[in-house]
Amino acid sequence: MPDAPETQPTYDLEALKRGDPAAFEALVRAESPRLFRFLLRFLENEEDAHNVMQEAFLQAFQRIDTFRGEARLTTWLYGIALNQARVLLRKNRRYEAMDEADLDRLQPTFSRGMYAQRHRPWPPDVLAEREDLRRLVREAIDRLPDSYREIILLRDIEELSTEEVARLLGLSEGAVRVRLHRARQALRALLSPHIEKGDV
Amino acid sequence: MKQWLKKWLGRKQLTCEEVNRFLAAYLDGALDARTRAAFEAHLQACAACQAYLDQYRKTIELTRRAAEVPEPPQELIEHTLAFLRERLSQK
Repeated sequence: MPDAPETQPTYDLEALKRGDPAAFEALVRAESPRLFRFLLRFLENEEDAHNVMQEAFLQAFQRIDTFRGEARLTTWLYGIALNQARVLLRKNRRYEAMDEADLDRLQPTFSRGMYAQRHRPWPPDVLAEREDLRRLVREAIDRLPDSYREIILLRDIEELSTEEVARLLGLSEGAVRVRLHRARQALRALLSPHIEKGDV
Repeated sequence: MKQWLKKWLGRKQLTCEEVNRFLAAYLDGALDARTRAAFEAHLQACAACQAYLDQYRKTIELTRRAAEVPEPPQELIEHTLAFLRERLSQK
């Protein structure tokens, strides 16, 4: 799904609905690597990611008649996989998730409409490949509450459009943006002290 | 009153807090033309909002880069197809 819509592969939906094995195989071959990477990021365990992906394809094939074509087939497939992955997620968590109050404390504060804290641009080399910073970012993502972590993974990492994320999660686009914004701001606040102190 | 003056007087001035609230919609290209113009006018004149937007964008980029995972194993697709053939043949 990171691809732009016009570069998305198109699948023969009629053949899929007829149960054509070649059509299913084409779908598995095209979508497995991307779906697996998404599930691996989500679950952080290769075996679980593989198992969930297999079950998601199985469910998709068994329920293909219920696919009405309102979303892209890949978005629908991700939805099935995500529902299954959520069950395993709690088991795999390495860090205790923050709650809404923690998230509130990580949002910027304002005084008379202006930022209460002083912000400076981060140095450009913050984007240089650095394993210590990557680890910090991964830890920060893992600390987000589940519903925020999902949105970050789907929108900022998988690069689904806001519309697709909204459809997948059953939210309005506005609600997706509000949650995404809170999550991004929380990540920014968690990273900021390390970046500004220069210890990463 | 001249049309341009009416328009100028009617233009909404945004605060930093409002600009902050619109960040996700701005980056999504989802703001209406008038709000986008007000957003960009504020941004151009406000160092604090420019700095915050810089950090916000870099946070998104760092998130994207940190979540890179290795390529899936070669046998992934064949294993998945074998699993599906077996399960679907049990029907």
